[in-house]
Amino acid sequence: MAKDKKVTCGTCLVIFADNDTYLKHQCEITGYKPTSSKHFGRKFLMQSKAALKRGNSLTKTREEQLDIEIANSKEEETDSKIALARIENKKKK
Amino acid sequence: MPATVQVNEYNGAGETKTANPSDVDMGSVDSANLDPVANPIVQGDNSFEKVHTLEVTAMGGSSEINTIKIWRTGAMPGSTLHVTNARETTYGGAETYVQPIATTSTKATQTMPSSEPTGANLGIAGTLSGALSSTGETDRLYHQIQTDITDVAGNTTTMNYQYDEVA
Repeated sequence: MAKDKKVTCGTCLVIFADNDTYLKHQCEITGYKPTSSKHFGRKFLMQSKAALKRGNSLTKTREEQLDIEIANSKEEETDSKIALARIENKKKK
Repeated sequence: MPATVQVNEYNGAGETKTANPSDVDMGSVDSANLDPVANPIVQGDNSFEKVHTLEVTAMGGSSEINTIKIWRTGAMPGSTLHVTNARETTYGGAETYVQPIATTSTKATQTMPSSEPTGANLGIAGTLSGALSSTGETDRLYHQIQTDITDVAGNTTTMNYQYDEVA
């Protein structure tokens, strides 16, 4: 859908020329690219775990990897960074 | 690594895309991350339609994303309606993009579910049984708030976007 059109990152509000450029950017708020599950924070990782469980695909190995990522994400405070950015973004409107 | 999935919002005549918007505030302008205080829905009017997709930006070692379910939790105030094109039966296929409108939506014509649907209610490639096996987007979700003249201001509910992930 509209791959050659401009894309705004809803987290850092930087506007990119197209979707490919957006997907390759390292978000200044989260420190990760949108292709990394870490970009979306701890809640997303927990949602991913639930999605894998629903898909009957939550293997022991995957669950252990996700639990480590969830713990790391908590330490990095990604959710707090995203929440603060959202408040600031609202003020800019 | 799990698959990476984000919500997109599309606005304007040019289908401007905002990836992973802050929230889904509905209001009297066609804009992502809108301020509902500055852009309220006048009693008796409709909000501008919202157009969303789920986009898989990385498969993360999984083979398939499927069973897209959309619903709202939390009651609407007064006689307010929340309508959508998402549905489990007589699904209308993939909607083409048309700039969101604030007149009564012709795409969002069914009540938004207020609990988790039994099966998929938003399609992939035009069908509810569709799946994404590589990066890409779901069909477009259209939804709109339709208020009554007696409705009161200020209401918050939660939009739920769910998918299943197959390794």
